[in-house]
Amino acid sequence: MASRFHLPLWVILLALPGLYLLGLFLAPILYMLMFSFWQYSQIDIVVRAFTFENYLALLSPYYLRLFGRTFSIGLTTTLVAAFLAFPVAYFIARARPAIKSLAIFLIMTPLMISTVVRVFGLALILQRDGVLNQFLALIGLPAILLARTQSAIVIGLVQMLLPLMVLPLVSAIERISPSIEEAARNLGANSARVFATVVFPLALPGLVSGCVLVYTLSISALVIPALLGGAGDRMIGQQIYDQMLVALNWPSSAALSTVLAVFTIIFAILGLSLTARAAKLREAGR
Amino acid sequence: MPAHLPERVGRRGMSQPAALRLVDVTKRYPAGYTVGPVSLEIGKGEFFSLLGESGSGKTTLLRCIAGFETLTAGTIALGGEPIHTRPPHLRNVGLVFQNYALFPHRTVYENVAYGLKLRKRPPAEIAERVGRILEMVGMPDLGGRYPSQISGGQQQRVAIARSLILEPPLVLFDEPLSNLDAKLRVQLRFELRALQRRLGMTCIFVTHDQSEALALSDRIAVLAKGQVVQVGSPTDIYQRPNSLFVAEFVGSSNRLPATLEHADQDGSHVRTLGGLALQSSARTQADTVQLVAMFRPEEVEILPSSVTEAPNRFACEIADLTYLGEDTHLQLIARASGERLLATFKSHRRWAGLAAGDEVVAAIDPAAVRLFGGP
Repeated sequence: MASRFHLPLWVILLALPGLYLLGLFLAPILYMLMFSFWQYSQIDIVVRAFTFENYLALLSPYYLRLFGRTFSIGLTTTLVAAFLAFPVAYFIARARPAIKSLAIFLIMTPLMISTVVRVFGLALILQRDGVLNQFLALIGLPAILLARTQSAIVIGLVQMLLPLMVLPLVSAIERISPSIEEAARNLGANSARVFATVVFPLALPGLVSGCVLVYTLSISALVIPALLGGAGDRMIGQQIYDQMLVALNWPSSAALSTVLAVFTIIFAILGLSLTARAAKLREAGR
Repeated sequence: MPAHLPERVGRRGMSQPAALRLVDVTKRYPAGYTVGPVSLEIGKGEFFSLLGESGSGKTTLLRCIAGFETLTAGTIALGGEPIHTRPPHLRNVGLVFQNYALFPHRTVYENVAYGLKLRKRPPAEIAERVGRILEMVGMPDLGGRYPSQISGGQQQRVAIARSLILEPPLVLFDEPLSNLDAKLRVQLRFELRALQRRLGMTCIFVTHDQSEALALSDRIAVLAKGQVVQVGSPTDIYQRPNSLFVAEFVGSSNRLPATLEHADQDGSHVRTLGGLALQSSARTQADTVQLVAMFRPEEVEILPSSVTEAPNRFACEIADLTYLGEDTHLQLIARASGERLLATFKSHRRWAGLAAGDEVVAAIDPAAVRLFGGP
């Protein structure tokens, strides 16, 4: 009798996480999507009447500047992170196994400390009479004002997201056989040429996935711009937060969230298709 | 070797000025492992093999010449000019890798053209030379393929073309055939040898495969534990090994511990541990009477059991017979001493009736018996 009713194994395995995702991830997102098409009311917060108003409002110069600023901070962060991560990733990928595990552990450690704690530490270093400027004064250089600037946001974001750039790069570079680099050297390429013609093109899939991760996480950052940026450096995440919890304009907040989510998905798909193409080329050599 | 036959082409190598000269080349690793000191001279147009087991230092030596290892001591000169201080990309020494090391993201054409592009040759010249060399390695129509789209043998041909197109004065091969299947390996071996002769290029070929080294080389250096044990032509190495190590490493051998009884103008008379009287035309240099007598299995002649026993003729029982088609291998046990001998010969109808348990007489030419100092 007991064996009359058979559930496939995958249903049993996926039931709980599936319910969890459906109930606590997909449903809220769909609910938010609905909110973004409902009217805002100062009294009731939301009136269940269909409107495009919330989206049209995002075309105002204020919001366009907000998008522009957020995307440009995201782009700068991504470029700086890629630039810093490449040498580190190369070193790790080519290191002896013992050193490699240690280096990857060290790269991961910042992820184990609360962002808020780390950002406060960074704020202390960057502020007007912080550690950085004390040091500059000590060696006779003028102070630089980084606290409450976009540069501070970029520094903070790079600091937080660097591991996510390093790790995919490491795994991509690890897969480049050292003998391919040696072959290029043997044929007359100096280090710069070896990098440009062999290492960089073959590490591209890792670089792209790192960039997608860093970029999408940068443009949705909240804590770092809030704590390190100035009043004029607001990013989308802060705006969503304020609309939601300070202005209590839930429909506007929902519309902004939806647009951000759509952008994130577009960037991710673009990146993935790029990676897929590069991977196909790579595969050519395996 | 009959007198009217010319010596192997390779002998020619050393009569010409050395293309490559290694003097006391030493590579010491922090872990305490050391290769060298090795001194070698390789002639222009010579096909020179470094033969040894893995860990014997042959690849390290090759990488020292290519510049991927820095020397602890010693010098390397190519065409009279020291190159051991130059970075790898300025040495102009070709290197063909075991795993081919083709650029996976570039086509066959782009792989082969890579070195010429770096040297900023005009596009017309590049196209002409790439076309010519691809033709030479037998794949004129595959320039547009990616490395993943061609077979292992074709990949190795591309790797060889990629090195040869730069016409380097020296080409290094790091076990280039060992990833290929047996048949292709033999075919590419012939092609490589033909190409080398045609272009007159100087080659150093690293291998652990003794038959490969014997088939390809003008001269062979046998390496063990980071040292050169013997340098010589394939016939030197095989027929006149200077040590038991070389004798055992190259080909199979019979080794019988023996004591020296006396030496005269015919050579040496020894008695094996089991009591067989064995004559060798070699005069032993060993100052000890404890020796090892060595002879190749194919030097053991099988005679009918009716032949009487005499020096170097022993009545034996066939303990085991392995028929391999072309060859037959016999495990023999000497009646008088119980010592085991290995004999191999070309299978022939007249041996068709031979079986394990049969009585035969094994005869060994004194000229084939070599003596080495005690075990």
